[in-house]
Amino acid sequence: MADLVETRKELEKREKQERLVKPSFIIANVLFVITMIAIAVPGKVTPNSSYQFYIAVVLVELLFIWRYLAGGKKRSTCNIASVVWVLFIAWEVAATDLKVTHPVLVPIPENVFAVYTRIPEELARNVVSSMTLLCQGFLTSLVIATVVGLFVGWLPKVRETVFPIAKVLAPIPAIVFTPYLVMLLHSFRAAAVMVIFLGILWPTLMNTILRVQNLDRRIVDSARMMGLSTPTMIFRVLLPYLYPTIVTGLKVQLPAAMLMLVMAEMYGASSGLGYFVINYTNYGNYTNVVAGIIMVGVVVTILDCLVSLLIRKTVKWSE
Amino acid sequence: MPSIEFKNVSYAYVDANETHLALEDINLEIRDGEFLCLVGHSGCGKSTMLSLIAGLERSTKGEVLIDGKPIAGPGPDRSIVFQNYSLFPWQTAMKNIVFAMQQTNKQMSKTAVESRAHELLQQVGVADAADRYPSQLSGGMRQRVAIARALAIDAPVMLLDEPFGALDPMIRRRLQDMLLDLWKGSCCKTAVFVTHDIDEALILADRIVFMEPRHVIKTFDLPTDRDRTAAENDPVMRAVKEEVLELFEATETGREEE
Repeated sequence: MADLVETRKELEKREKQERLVKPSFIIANVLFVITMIAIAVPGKVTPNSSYQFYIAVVLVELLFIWRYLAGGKKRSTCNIASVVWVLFIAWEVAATDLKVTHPVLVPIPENVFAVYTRIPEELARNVVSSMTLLCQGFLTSLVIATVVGLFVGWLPKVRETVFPIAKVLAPIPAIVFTPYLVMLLHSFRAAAVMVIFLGILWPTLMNTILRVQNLDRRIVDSARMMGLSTPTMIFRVLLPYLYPTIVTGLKVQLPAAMLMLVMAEMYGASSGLGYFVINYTNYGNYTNVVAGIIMVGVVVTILDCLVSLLIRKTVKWSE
Repeated sequence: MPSIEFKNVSYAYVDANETHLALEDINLEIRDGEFLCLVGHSGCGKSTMLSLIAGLERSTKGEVLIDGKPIAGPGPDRSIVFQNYSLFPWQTAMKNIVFAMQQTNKQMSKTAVESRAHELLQQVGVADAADRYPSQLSGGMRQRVAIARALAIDAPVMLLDEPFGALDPMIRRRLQDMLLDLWKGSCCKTAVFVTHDIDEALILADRIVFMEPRHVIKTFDLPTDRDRTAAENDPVMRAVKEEVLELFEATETGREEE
């Protein structure tokens, strides 16, 4: 009986939530329409072309509808969309329609989104440049940290020496090495890769060491009883055991690497997203600057989504 | 002919710069095909005995022999079941067994391995959970899979370190019966089972070895043809139980040291 009452309460609660979802969905879509109207209304500033902004707004709307239909937490999805629309409306109304913001420092949204069709090659080139450096630094670091961490974690004597050293070196922000590394390595690209490498190496190494150290002795003993060869022990026991730590680590490490890279690029590169932003800041072209900043956000978000997808598809077990 | 033999075995370990003696001059013969239970308080050295047979630890003095040869290290001629967490958490129940078989018996074909693994899972009653990961199994099911894996290795010696220690009494009882059936079915495996539960030992063992810290103090031979489910009513068994319980009480003080 008690169970039934519980179940009914639960159902009623859920129904209530379902109903609550609907108004917030309507609000989000009304705000979308208002955004479109705000762009359509002729304002004090007349942009050269508005279609890029329309496309961006429609893409955001499509993304929202997709997340609404496919994802859980429907109400939060609606709320997030509403916040985005309010920001877009505020920007559009203040900058284009009423022209109450600084005309140079706050570029109008139409012009910002037009950048993506005006100089697509330049943007793409910089994204590719950044991603290449990111991959180089990141992958080398990940492989080396995992291999070294595996052996250090496995051998207690080595671990007791290496771990304290890693603990002291890890908190030094890798970014402070940039100027020195540029002098040392003669090439900015090598220095940027090195900065990412250093930034990722220590935390990943420490994680791996701790993880190997915490591997349950009975699991190791079971493996030893099977008389496994060393390669089998590494590839069929230790690496499968470490894999979830490695990929979930990416979730934190990848944005961290991106941060270091963009900062390094702003320091003295001749390509890359950080360079794109700092270069146009120096020229006072804030339209391109804002477009570049949005681009960085999009790239980081895509990387994060890819990592989430990788985790969801490949990490099937837990302890 | 003894299957496993302890000859004046001592074992000491160093912890925080202090040497602790866990076993002292142990002499014990374990017969071929015997089900032997090591009983005693926690920390009396019974698990250490098992580790020595497994080859996971080495004796500091004396030697442990299997079929007359000293044990060099861990190997697939002995299989082991721990209390918990010994299955590979990244492999499903089925894969755990398949992997153990592939690693210990390289000649077996893939299909033979898979059908044998399936058969074993059925025997331990978890065929439905073959594709689940250990984290998705209950404690009892995990131990069933662990036993299936130990049987999959098909070693002549089976070592069990309090395998049912963390389970509810009901499930524990059921698994004891299952283990006994499987052991009889596999015929002539030597089993060494560590427990501190005298009732468990009475159900399973051919012989009970009682240990106080560092020493074997008494062994009890049990009738092999007894009705193991009716241990309570058998006068011989009752006498053994009473004596073991007395020993438990007598060695109580030894527990504090550990």
